[in-house]
Amino acid sequence: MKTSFELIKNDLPPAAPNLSIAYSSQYDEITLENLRIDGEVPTWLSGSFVSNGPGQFEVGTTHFYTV
Amino acid sequence: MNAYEHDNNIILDLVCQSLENPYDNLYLSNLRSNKPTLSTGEIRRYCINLHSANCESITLSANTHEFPRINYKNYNGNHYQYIYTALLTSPGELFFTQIQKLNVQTGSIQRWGKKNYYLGEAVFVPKTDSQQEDDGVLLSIAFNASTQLSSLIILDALSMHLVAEIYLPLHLPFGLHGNFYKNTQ
Repeated sequence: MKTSFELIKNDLPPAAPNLSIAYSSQYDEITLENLRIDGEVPTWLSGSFVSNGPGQFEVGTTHFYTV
Repeated sequence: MNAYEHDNNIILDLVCQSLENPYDNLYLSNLRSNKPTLSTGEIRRYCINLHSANCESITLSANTHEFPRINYKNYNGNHYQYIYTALLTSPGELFFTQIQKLNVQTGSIQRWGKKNYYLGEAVFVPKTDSQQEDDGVLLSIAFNASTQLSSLIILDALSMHLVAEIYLPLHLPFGLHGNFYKNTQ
């Protein structure tokens, strides 16, 4: 029985062509200003939007099995 | 997603899955495949009568949903109208392609989606001093499969129209849940 946090050395099958990036690691930790915006952000909307989820899918050559 | 007492009934609304173990679908080998199976369910309402202890259920929306959200700030545990979910519009889709607003009182549905966009959980943020339950915005992190980049989508929850899209110069891996914390000044 595999567990959610089980780590194995495994060659995972290649990701689907159009969503492979969305299931790949993001190593950059960056602060961005002056982003391109279409439309207008409501003036009353001011604060922090926090989202959790996997940021990295492997440690060295060891791959996570699940999200 | 919500529960409250009404006319001697406990009303309990949730996303119900028929799968034995929905977490089996969270293996990356499944999610990364060309035909992933995503764990989704129907929106179901249970009515538990407090006198007879009789329990009945009805399906409020039979589509394939996940990531339910409501106006938690003002309606958690209260009589309410609106559920926002991410949904698959056809079984073969790789990830959620639309945000749905369901009026649980009338059954009316409004949806938003954009070509080649895959959408994460829609977090409802009430407008300051809002009087209506759905007066606010929905925030969703989207992945554009064409550009392979992410963006933040802001929808007007009243009309379910796009208010703004903020483009990021990088991809964010598909997330799970989130929250918005207003600046307090």
